[in-house]
Amino acid sequence: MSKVSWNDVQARLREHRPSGAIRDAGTFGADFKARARLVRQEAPGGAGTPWVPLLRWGVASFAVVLVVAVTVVFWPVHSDLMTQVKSLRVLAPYSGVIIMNDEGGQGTVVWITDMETDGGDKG
Amino acid sequence: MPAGLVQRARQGDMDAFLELFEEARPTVHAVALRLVGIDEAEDVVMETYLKAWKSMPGFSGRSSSRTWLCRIAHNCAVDWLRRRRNVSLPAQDRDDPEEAGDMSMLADPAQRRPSELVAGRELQSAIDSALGRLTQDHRVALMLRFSDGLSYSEIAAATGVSIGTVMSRLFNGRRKMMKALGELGISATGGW
Repeated sequence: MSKVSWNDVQARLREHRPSGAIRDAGTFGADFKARARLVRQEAPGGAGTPWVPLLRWGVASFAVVLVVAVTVVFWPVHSDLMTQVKSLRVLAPYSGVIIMNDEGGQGTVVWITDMETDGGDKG
Repeated sequence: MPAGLVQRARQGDMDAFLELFEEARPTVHAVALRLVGIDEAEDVVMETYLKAWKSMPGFSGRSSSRTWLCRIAHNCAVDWLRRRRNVSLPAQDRDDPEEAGDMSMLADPAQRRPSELVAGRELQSAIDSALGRLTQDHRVALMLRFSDGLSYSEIAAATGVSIGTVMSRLFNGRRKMMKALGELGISATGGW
């Protein structure tokens, strides 16, 4: 196997430019000017200004967060309908009932005191 | 960059614009050539300069003009390729190694004397063949770096990736190229 250094390879790569000629500055400049006259430059502070898209993103993000927050805070929670006990029938003998509404957890705890179960346990 | 020229170009002075960016034109041409091929490189260069002209009022002059133009050239080349998707890539940019390089001259390297193999044009042919075996990403990165002399940041702007990705592509591209040269009977040694 023959050996060459990577520097040799790099030197060859430097010579690897294709033969496509670059137009001379005068020709290119004349062509450019002819076309550029048809192009309108962006106004300073227009689309070319980097903070404008950032500002748009910021406003859009803030609007989304605001809508979500308002929806969560003001979403109607029918806690009375979900937790109100309309009627209660206890078949075993008992001494009292405590009904606790947990609006945060949207639940209701029914506590029956001195209820006589089959095994005689109370709870 | 000369602040006066930048200011004049921003105010619509085409001569000032051309004076500012003429030096970068070979670099932009190299980027266009690597990305779209030799036939359409000049068109992409012109499109790049027209877009740069359009965006000139937003150019502060603080960043490198070459990097700025490389980024615009990349966008123009991508648009160009998208428009011409149905047109086949030039032979030098194909990923198919069978089509990318002429392997016939090196079909049986074992039968050649080493000095003959590495001499002049044959080494060049081996390099052409090795380049043809690389992916386009690796090949473009290597060519922009070693043939065209672009900096890492310019290559990153020209190819639309981060500098870290450029470094990775250069490292892996070089490794694969040395492997390909090895398969062609040439052992490339040494560092960068």
